[in-house]
Amino acid sequence: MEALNLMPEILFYIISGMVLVSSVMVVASRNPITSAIFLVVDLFFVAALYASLGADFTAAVQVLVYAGAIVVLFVFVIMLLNLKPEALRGFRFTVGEALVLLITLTGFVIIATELAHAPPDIASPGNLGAAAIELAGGNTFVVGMRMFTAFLWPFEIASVLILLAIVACVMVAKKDKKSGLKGHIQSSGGN
Amino acid sequence: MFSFPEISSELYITAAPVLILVVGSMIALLQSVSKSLGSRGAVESTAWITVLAAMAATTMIPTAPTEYLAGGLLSGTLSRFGEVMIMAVAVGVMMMMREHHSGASFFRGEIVSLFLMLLSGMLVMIASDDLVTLFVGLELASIGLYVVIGYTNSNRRSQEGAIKYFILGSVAAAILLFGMALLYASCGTMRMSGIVAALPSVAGHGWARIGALLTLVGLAFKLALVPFHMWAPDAYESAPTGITAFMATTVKIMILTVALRLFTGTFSSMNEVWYPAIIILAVLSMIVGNIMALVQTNLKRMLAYSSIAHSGYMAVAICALSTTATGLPVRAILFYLLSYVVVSLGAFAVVMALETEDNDQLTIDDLSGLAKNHPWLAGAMTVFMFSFSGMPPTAGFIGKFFIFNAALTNHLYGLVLIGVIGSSISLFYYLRIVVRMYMADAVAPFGAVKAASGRFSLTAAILALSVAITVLLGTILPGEAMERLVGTAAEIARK
Repeated sequence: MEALNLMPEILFYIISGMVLVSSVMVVASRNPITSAIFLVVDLFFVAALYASLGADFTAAVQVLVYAGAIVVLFVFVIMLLNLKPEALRGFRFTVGEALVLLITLTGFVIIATELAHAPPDIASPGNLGAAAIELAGGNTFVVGMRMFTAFLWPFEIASVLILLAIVACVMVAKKDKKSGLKGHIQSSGGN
Repeated sequence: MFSFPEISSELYITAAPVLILVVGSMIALLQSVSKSLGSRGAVESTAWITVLAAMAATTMIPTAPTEYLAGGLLSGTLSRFGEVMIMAVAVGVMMMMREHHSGASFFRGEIVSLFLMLLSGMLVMIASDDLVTLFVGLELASIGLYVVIGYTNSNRRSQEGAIKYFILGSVAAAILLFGMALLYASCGTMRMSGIVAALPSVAGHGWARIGALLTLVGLAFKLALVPFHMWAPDAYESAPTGITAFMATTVKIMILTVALRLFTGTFSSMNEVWYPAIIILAVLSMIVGNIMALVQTNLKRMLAYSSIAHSGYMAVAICALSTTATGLPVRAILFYLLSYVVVSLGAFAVVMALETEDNDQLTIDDLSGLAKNHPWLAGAMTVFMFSFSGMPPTAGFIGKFFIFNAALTNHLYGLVLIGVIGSSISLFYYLRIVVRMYMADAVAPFGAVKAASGRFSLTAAILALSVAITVLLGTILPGEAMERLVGTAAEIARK
């Protein structure tokens, strides 16, 4: 934590740079396995970003759940489906794609310029502050307590959501006896 | 720093519909494990008991606006209005499904449990003041819908529609989430009532503006306002018709309830962001929706585009929210929503009564000469088409009247003009159906309906009820209905 406090800005730029590079590599690489590995790297650096903000619980969960469990599942699926590297396609834009790119870039520029200012300075009752969190018993303790007090209802509903996602995944992946159609395994709604 | 939520009997009464639905969905899921318990009859009785019990529970929600579980759950007339409507639609859709050929694939353990879970998600979303709860409820409803659309009748067409809806819907959810995060960052609270209170003081700030805009885009996506409507025709066409009816009505109920909570009171402070954006959405939806509906031959696609146009009319009333002196726009939206839901349900019931297993994509030609074979069905459809196009004496006319009235009192003359032009375009394609039914000869026999006219008792009940409500809301009840909505409008404005 000492080193993090010394040069927070430099560290932030290094980590964000790595996040950007690895994100681009996820999309750009042709081999699905390479994409998955870069996704691990990407999620790991996002976790580093959380850690540098003092949210060590979120950082640990990010590494454990996303970089650990989810991406391993991705790799399993890729290996089970035996996906081949994508066939090379000429790098030529159609008019529609160019238009979409233009609109997206315009939107990005507008959002980026609006967000370039510091956030509005407003009293936040939900934000406890680093000192208060330390006093209350640390990050994990506070997250747990908030989860079971202020956010009890959405927390319980989220368990229904996960159950629904599991049932949905089984339905999508199950082979239909009648029509013989197989669902799209990649599209399982487990977000 | 941490206060445990207070558990009171009122909390349980307010949460009861959600809890009943979740318990029912678990039972349905467990039933599908066994062969005898998972039979259609057993699963169907679970579904009926759960949905009817939940509907009874929604009517018991206290009308006094109170918040429970740190704002995650609200009682009050708006919550009750939305929840009762959603459950009424669910009951109606299940009645239609029971007599439809897709009923066998709908009343399976997995599908019924998904259906009940997604219903609970809708109720959670309607009754929440907290953005976290709202988003969890929205995802519960959306992910459930994707699967129910695609896998009730598993075939390539419905899977394609479901995947399109899934991908676009996920992008929309991400945009909505980004907007909500920015609203949180600029207002310092996840509570919608807190955001409504804090937004005026940060309205000029870039973060709040982008957050407000992205939240609007996310909601517009779910409402299928042009240009975020791409998924709607495909999803409507590919889903089993009962699910289409369910989706066309309930998603509007749930999104508009949230929109009313969020926009009322904040609208004027966010005028420079929301005002032009919603005007563009409303104008495009009314024009594109009506013009695209003109050229459709598939009945469900036509109804999809017409629902886009109707979302546009409701967006006009949202524009009028900037001055809420009388609560007129709020009442206009709720009234329009009520009439739209009733009429849609009726129109889809007619479509479902005519569908056969071989022909479940009816075209407008299939309706030719319907009046000779089935005068009652044709008569009901005529009432619904009149109401959709906004002709007196139906609920659609009064609804449009209230909306345009609310817009005119806010000097939105241009919007009203485009709304009237859109309505007159819509007259053409709605009346074309009426003309086909009464003045053309039948091109194809309506085998299923003719053979099984006695079996359609529940559908007939729905049709009679829809026609009755449509006509009553259009003739003697609009004043009464608007009186009853005064309290709701006041409740929203008070926050």
